[in-house]
Amino acid sequence: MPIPEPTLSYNVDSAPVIARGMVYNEEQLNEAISGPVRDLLLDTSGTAEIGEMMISLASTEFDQQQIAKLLQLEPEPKVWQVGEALAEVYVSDTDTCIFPWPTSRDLKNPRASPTGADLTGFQKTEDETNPFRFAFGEVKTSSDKNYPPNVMYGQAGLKNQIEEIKNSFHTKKHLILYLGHRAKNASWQHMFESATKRYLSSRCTDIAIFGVLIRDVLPDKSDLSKRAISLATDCPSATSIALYALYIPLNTISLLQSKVQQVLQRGEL
Amino acid sequence: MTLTLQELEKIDQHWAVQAIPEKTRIAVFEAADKRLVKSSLDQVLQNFELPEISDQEIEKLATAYEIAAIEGLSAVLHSSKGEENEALIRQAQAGAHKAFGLYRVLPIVTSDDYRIFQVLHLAGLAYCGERWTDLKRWFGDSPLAIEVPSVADVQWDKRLLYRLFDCWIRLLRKECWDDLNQISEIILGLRKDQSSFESRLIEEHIGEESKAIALRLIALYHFAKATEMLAVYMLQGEPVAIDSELDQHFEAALKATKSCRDMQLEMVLNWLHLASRKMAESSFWWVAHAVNSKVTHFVNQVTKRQGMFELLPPQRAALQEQGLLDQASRAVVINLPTSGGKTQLSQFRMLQALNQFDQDNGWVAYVAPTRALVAQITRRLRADFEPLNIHVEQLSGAIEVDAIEESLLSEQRAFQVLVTTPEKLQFVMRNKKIDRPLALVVMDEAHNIEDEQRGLRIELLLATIKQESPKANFLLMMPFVPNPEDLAQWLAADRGRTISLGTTAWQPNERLVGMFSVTPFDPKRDEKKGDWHLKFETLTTTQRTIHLHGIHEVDGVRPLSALTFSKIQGSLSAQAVAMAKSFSSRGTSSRGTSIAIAQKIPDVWSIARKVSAELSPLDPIPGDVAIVQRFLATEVGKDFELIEMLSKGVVVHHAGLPAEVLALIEWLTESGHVRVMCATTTIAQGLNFPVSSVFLATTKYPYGIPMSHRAFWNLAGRTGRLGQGSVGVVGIAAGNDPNSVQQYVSNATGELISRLEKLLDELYEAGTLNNLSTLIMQDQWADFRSYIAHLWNEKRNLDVVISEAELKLRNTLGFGSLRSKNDTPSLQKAEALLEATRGYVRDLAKYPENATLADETGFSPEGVRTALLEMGNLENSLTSENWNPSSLFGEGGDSTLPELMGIMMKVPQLKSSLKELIGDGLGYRKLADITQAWVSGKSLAEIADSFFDGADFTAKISKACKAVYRDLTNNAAWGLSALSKMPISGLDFENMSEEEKRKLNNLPAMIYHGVKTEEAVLMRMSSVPRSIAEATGSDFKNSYSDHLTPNAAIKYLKSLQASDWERLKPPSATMTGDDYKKVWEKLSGL
Repeated sequence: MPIPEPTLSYNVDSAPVIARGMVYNEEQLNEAISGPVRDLLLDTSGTAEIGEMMISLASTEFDQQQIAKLLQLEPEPKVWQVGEALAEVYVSDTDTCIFPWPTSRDLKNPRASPTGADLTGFQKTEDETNPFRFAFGEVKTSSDKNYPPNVMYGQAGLKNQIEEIKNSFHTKKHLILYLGHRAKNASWQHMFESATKRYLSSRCTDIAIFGVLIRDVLPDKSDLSKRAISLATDCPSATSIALYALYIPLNTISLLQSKVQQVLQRGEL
Repeated sequence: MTLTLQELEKIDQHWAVQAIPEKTRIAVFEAADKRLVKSSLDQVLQNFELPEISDQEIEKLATAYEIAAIEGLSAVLHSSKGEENEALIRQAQAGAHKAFGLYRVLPIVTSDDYRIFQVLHLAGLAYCGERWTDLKRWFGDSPLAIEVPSVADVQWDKRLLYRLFDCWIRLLRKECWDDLNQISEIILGLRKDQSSFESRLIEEHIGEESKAIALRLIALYHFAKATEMLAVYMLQGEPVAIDSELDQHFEAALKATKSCRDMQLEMVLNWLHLASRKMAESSFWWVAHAVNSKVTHFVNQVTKRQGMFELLPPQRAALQEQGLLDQASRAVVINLPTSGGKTQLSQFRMLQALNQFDQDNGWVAYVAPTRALVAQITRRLRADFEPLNIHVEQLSGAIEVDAIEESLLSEQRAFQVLVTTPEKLQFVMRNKKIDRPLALVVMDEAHNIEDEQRGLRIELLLATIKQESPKANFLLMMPFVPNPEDLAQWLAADRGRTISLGTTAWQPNERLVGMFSVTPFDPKRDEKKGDWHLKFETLTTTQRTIHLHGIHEVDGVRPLSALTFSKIQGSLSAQAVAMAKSFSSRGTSSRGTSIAIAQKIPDVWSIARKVSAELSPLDPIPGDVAIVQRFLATEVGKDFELIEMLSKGVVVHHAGLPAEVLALIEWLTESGHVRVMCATTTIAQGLNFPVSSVFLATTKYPYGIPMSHRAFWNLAGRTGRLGQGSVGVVGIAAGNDPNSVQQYVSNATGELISRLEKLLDELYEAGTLNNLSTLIMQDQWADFRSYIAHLWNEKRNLDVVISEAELKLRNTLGFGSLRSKNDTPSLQKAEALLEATRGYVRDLAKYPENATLADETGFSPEGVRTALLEMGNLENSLTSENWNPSSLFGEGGDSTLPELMGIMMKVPQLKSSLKELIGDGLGYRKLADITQAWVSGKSLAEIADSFFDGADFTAKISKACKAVYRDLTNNAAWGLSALSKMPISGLDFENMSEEEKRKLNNLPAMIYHGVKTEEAVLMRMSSVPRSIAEATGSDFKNSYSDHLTPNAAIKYLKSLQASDWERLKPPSATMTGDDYKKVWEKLSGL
């Protein structure tokens, strides 16, 4: 099911970087959550798998009690997972991207190093020989009232993360190898092959990068404008960068979890 | 599945690799090679510019190969039959092999967390690409990379990760039993820590992240369990079904990781899953489970005692894929790269053969080309086999069999493995000295079958065994032979098996091959007149060697400061030793032993002196070096120059030295105490220990005989050290003909061709094939004539031998090969040989006793005839009294030894060597005097002083050593033994008591070992130094046993304490009782 199309609020593109603010009204948001977002978040808890994991854990001869307790907590999707799912659906739709597995369904490990990217997949292009290239994205969901929100800054901030994907050879390399480990016999193996060829033959720059902010405040250009300008500096010609601020109705971020729960339980909002 | 060179080429066609232009790839590999060489040789090779290739460019290409490897990972883990699957496995191996080669030259990241993943990732690639030996070397080069981060003040999950890193470093380097044994303790410690540390972590992350933390811990606990199981398996071989256990835990860990977005951990677990499976499959235990209890005991032994846990890739391929232990194969011919672990492979086959022939009390013959190698292999096999109650004995290098050896050979349970030279085994087999079935013949360095001097002998030995021991199995081991199937076919037709690993991608290490020269001083660089530089230029070769563009300066100005340009320019051996000196160290750290090779023994001493004068003494002098110094002072003489050289870490190695001195030098080399070894080219035949570099003044043996390409590459294959960080370097002096050096290393190693066939080819080319019946009487055909004489002896019927000649000749490689070809020249050669053979048989039939004596003495029938004629010409007929040791070796002046020496001088097989002695101006009388002095216990120093001239003591002692060890002990002992067996020797064997016979048979052994009593002969056979052999022999006889058997001697010697050795040592000895004990243990391998 396609995502309802949000309304363009502002365009602060700074070539080659695309930077747009998009607004979802209540109805559009509900439609998205009941449809494609719900599909992505199905079985987030993975209850059956976790049961299996507990059984096999006994064979390691490590104690299982505390782990068992932890796994029983919080089965519902978290706010950031809903935000990521919304971003994934939006980017897939507007930028012809394919994310092979719903990364938003994964739990995010705060202690992993490094954690990779929130969106890891491919973008379909017009190139006839190698139509696919890599698409990597970072998503931040924030109910902060500031412009831009605090999640833009700092080591783990969106700005830094996008810069890292743009500039760091190692970050890109690890993301590609990570996909490579899962590509064999996958339906998207051909996409991986095409994207890898483009990447390796382009001085490691032919990729699409997405930065998505999910906000529940009124739209404001200052969320993206400076970021677009700074990312445009020294941007390799083969790399494309798109920044999106998705504005959902005021103060609805805190309701996202319950909306998703409701959809997952009743099938609709 | 073994990775081959072809697969390495093929992987370049993979789509990921093809995405990078070929030109870039070539430049990146060249840069990686240069970085590798620089890391190993940067202070030795100078003007070393690294190309402008960035880390990123190298890493990008590595990524492309890694992507190719990743595509095949699951095929490796879940291998099933089918072409597609096998292609994927090869792709994974080849991709990982190349990716590893690039990643290893990149800098190590500083952050501990990233470094751990970098190292483990590299380890995964190394295992997948069959490069774990390179990984170990990288560990040696990069100690900071494998440093385990401190676990103080880190959270539980990191504590787990750091500890597991520690465990994996242990698993990967496997330094010793304890290294692995401690892994279980580390994991046990983690289980104990869990209760306190785990809750702290959980408390800090309670809330949104708690489930992800739980999944991370689940992954780490499974990782820990898999690690523990792998370590236990490597140590004990349990559980047998280790692969499914590893799969279970790694798959569970991966499942947990995948659900919590732990990208790095997921990727590393993928690689370590594969590495763990590969490690288990390469474990010695994996083989042990497939064979029999003897092998299981052996594996237990090598893992526990030697800390060896893993088969080298070619070994694994030979055992698991190519059927080395297939009982149906009668002959197995292994073409294995040098340093590929062939001795150990042969051990598995030996154990299997002994198991197979257990009921019949079968035995194994291990044939090694030189005396030094016989001793070395014996020590090695003893160390491994004695604890399994498998007795290993060696026969002396003398051709004849002495009385003690005779009793050893006839005793039913005296040995299961006999180590010997081809010549000695030939004698044993032709005279049927062992009344037990020969289970297996292991022929080491079997490519010697093409050797000009000994090749024919080896071929005919194998032909004899094939013919007369129909149940015997064969194992031939050789390097760089493209046609091993010809040999397998020859020895066992349809029951032959070839294990050809010549094209395996694995190599013991990286290698530079090039040529060196000197250039005069450069006034622009403020250098003085007379100064010089060494230059080294790497060459393109037929083997896989690193080629660096340009000419490199070596080690600054005038590395041998005492030599001016005009002096070094004219001496290629001095240039070789200057190179060896420069490459023996890097700054203040040692690079391992460098060898300088000269053509002749005096040159060897000369260059050893030069380099020794320029080096400072080892400080402090290691205890083992001091022991060898005291050994030399006692056994050779206090003024022996080698003693002082040893203080500087310089040694000499040539055939003129006693085998036990060579053994001790090799021991010091293996222990890392030797900086520079100066050797003759003959070391190419017996170099069986690793060195860091080899520099040859020439590629010719004495008398200008060229070193074959196979022998050269075999020698080159020893450079660089397995498990230690260094690039091997091989250099040949450019001299006046650099083009021929270039040509030499770029010529391919051709097919192995029988010497017999080559002899016939030469005659054919010269148009003299029709004269073969006459030409067959020439010296180079002596071995062939002896073979025919033996065939005659077996039947002693002219008609039968003539009619069977074709059949018997077909047992040889050469004749068989000619018969298998259909071309006219081959047909003509075969017919000519057959005709000449028949003619020779007719001649033999006229004097049948000559043929019989030929077998008994090892002489050719013509040698027998000469000896008989000469003995008949003696003024006084010989009597039994002449053979009495006191008469023969006494100083009374009535000894017949001079006359007997005179006869020996006429026998073709002996004369050339003894003539060399005469060439030194010695008459028969003097030769006899030296023999008498030697047997009566005079030291080498005394013999050198009394009998030899020379500018200094070293010159005299060199001549004495050469005379005694090369000429006297081999030829005079053999000659005396042979002459005693002649019917006109005056000896009445039929009416002799057993004791008299035994005493007589031990006479030649007295010459061989340089002692005057039978009990001392026994001690010398059991590796006791000559200086104490008489005393220990007497002690043995008087207080231990009057049965002169090697087994009793070994038991006695094992029982001796240092105080006993002290009590028995001669008063003049510099060695202590402790020294004697240690030297004996080293020499005997017990």
